[in-house]
Amino acid sequence: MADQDIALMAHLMRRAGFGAPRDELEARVAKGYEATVEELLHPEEQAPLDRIDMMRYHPWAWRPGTSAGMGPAEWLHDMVNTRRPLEEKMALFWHQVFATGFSKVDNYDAVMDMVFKFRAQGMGDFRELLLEVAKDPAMIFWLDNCENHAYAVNENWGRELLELFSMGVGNYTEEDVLECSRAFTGWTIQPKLPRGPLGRHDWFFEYREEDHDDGEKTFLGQTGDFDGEDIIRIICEQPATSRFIARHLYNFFVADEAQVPAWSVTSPLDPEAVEFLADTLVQSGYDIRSTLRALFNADFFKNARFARVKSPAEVVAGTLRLVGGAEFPGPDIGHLARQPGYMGQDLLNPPSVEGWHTGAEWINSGSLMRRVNFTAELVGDLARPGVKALVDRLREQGASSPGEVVDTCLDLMGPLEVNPGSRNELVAFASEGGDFGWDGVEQAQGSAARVSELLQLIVALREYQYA
Amino acid sequence: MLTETVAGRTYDYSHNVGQGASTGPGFYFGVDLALGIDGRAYVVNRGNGAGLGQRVTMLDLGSQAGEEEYIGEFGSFGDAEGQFIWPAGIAVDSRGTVYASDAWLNRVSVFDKDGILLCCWDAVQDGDCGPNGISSIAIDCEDTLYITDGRSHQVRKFSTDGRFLGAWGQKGEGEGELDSPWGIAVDGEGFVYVADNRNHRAQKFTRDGEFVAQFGRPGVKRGNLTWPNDVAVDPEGDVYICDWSKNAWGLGRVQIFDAQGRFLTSLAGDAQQLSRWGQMTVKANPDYMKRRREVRSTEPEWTFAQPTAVVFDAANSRLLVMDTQRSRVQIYNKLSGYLAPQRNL
Repeated sequence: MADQDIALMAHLMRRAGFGAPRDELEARVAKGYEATVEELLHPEEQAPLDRIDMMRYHPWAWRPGTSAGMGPAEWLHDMVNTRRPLEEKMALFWHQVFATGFSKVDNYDAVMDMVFKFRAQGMGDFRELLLEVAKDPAMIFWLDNCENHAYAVNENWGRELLELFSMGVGNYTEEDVLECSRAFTGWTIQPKLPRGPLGRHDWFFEYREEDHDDGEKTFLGQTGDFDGEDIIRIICEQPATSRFIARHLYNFFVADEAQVPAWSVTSPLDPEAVEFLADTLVQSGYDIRSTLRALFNADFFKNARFARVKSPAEVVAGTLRLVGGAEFPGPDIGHLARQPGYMGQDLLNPPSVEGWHTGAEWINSGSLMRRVNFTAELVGDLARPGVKALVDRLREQGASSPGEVVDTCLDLMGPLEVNPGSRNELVAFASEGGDFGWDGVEQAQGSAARVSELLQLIVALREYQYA
Repeated sequence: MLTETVAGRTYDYSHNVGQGASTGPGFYFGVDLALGIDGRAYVVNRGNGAGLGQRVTMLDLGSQAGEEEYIGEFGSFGDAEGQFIWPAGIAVDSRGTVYASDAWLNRVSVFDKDGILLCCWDAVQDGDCGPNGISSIAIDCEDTLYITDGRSHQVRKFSTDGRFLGAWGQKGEGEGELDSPWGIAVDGEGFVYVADNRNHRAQKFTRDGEFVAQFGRPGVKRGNLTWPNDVAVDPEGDVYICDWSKNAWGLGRVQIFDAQGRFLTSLAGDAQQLSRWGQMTVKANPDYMKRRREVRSTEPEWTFAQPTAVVFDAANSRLLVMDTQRSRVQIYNKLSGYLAPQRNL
């Protein structure tokens, strides 16, 4: 099996999922790259995760309400254990685009309901997804469309729909914002039973005809008695929309772009790639699945290894997938789910409607320390099945020289491509104990302990922070 | 329906007790309940994942709405003796001693009737590397404890001082095999009933684990079971199985079978009024009151939401259902001699 095949498959699984242990990568390479892409694009062919253990052992997870830091526990567990990695990755993608947060909604389950929609529709027709988002109770509350009345227009949702969810700054006027907002008057939420004294209830969309402004509107050059559905149709007819979504896809799956607010004044990193994705979107009728297929099979994707800084969710879920042992939802699921937040990505609670700033902005002295400490603790745990499997491979291979052990570890941890200086540092560290030996229990245990220390250094490398 | 009459039995909704509360009057993801020898009820609360609300609540359920009385609580989050990580099951022996299981620590904590810790013992044998996850407890008239283990797919027997007396069960779908057993009950003749969760059935065993009968089968039709999680038996032999079948607003029914396993009827929850504690909370929160007046119907809160325990209170001929997500116990009287009203009123 060619190393390059493994490296390419590892790249695909880091981007289209949350990474994969070596056994899975080898199985996927045997299946083929394009076949793997197709499998990822059709999550419905894989069994969904069993929810019963979660319901049984964590009854609070059904409606996590306001339990501090506990809201994303089930989601993170899903990221780690899903057999549908791209479905879960797309949920994360859309959560970043349609950023809606607990800080205002004050109700994890309502934000999590959006994630369920992203799973279900995240690879479907973007226009339908956008319409679903417009009707989503958490979004309606988050951007105040429940305060958008025929007699008193609130522009918050209308503005963000154009600025952050579809076209981007510079492609519409202030008048368009007002007219767009008028079209969404009356799109609100049903009153629901309060959280006390018996727990949470679902929120439902409601259209109130008597509160809808049914007057004539002129939006992006078209005039009519538009409602929200018309607005979304018109938005999706604009080339700016396909380019905007294409750039989001490029930024999330291919390489770190400038932050979203700068897109109106900063050219894309690879304008041809973004244009290619935008064209694919339009030609496919805004079918996200078709666009992703084109993306994953494109050379600009295959050649973009380690061109993105991992998001905190990718660091946490990816490392847990690598080391294993998180299949059963134990009492630590809340602890694990809070880790991305400590690293700067509080899931279900983005800092603003802009979502998180990505790329190099994920990294600061505090977040980097969190990344290193968390991952080092995991890979240093020889009881974890993934770590044990890695050590077993070294033993079976009979790896003895420090250089050989370092290279094998780097290979099995990614494969990771590190600069010569980093490799030399690792070899120097590994050499401190001399050659590795695997004969007898005591010697094997000693070598395993040294390997676990080496793995801790590897996850502290700059290269491990890149996807 | 508030009153359900079928085959000579009538289940008449009485009242509900509880509200969401991580301490004090109310429950926080109550997952099991038991009755003491003086009629006192004990509700074991799983709490949330942040270590809030793990405890046992002691209360008097009252005979009708408004009579409930909070008595106190014991236990807290942690792994020290008397504490819980995943409190799971609870049962009371013939002397009134209370046994509470912990599904993570695999430990039984023993308390006197007022919640004073007496001792703790492990429900997993030395050398058993698991995975294990003990769940519900049932105690027979000879004070033998039967404890399910949802992760090792077993029923284990213990004496009251924690001496291991035997076990049965292995993972499987065949007669006598189990898949993630959960709730457990013992009838007056010593037969043991187990909610066989992932096999979507309940099984009846002799006290030594010999298979006797099966109740229900997987599915969504009448009398089928979906993720059954507890079972109870009344003195007439009727069997009550609590499961997560769909109801109008969520998941949860109590499916009722006769002693021969014939399906009789099911209950889906009927709590049309708040409990006394619930009403107090609403009255103390004007926003709650206003919002409740704005909703078109309170119906979404009537039905069960993932109930996880069912107990038959033989002394009062009534069925108690632990309505976990709604933090309350719904209570149905089982009436005999009920006269149905004229149909043409």
